[in-house]
Amino acid sequence: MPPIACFVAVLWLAALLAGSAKSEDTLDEAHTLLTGSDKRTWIELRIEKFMGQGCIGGSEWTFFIDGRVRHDKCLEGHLKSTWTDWSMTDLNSLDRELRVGEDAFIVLFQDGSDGLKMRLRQQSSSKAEATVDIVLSSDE
Amino acid sequence: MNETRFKVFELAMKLATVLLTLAGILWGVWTFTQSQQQQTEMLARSSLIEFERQLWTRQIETYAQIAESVGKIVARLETGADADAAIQDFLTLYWGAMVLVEDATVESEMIAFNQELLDQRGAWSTSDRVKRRALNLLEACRTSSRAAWQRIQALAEGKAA
Repeated sequence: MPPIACFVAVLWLAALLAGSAKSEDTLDEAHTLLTGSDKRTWIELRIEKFMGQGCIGGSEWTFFIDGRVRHDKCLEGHLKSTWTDWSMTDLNSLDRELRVGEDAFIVLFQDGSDGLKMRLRQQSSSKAEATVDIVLSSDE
Repeated sequence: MNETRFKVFELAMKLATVLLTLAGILWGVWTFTQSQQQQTEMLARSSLIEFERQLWTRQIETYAQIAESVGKIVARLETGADADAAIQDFLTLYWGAMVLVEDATVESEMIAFNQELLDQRGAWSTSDRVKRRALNLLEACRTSSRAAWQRIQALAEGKAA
């Protein structure tokens, strides 16, 4: 195979792998992706802060390794924080469930060129209803 | 005295004859009605069995079509070939023939497979995950057709209405 063809093949493979779903085979690996070594903040929509407690829009989630999660949300120009618990379990060989308080999502991570992302999915059980996805970006 | 007894006896005999005739007629009507009812029920059951059997045949055919379509998609993704036409065929079945024959589990697996295809295009999934979803879907189809056949057998044996 000519060297240029090898180079193109390597580039193509690298591009393919760059945007692929993050492989987190075990639950422990998924925990580490979710919380980092201690905590990790996931941004649904970045909160723009100004003058102390003031803010504009946004919603952020910080997952702690001890099983707690803080939801920061900008409501009427003020930052509101609520705490709840999270847990993660394997539903089957393909689906992993992340519970945040009362809400359950199918969670998937992606480590692409634009950083670590987490997708929370509320899967529809009927074709007539849409599946809802929330994509959050890691604040790192 | 004897003549009076004879008249009473004669009257009783006439009455008994009338009563027996009436009872015979009623018995005949009842037997006829019962037999008609049984025949109607048997006809209804065999119609139902025939309907279920036709539906099952249609289901098997459609599941075979979906298996072929899913197989094509997986094979093409595995080799990196263009799977657009195969995905289009899958979507035609997804919104068409499958809606008529799938049960809730198969529907759920169809949704999951379709989502996995979308995820694979959006770099949230891999061809390996698509392959595993395909296997889950086809397993659900197999379970569904087996359950439908058992339902038909139960109907034929009169275990279910």
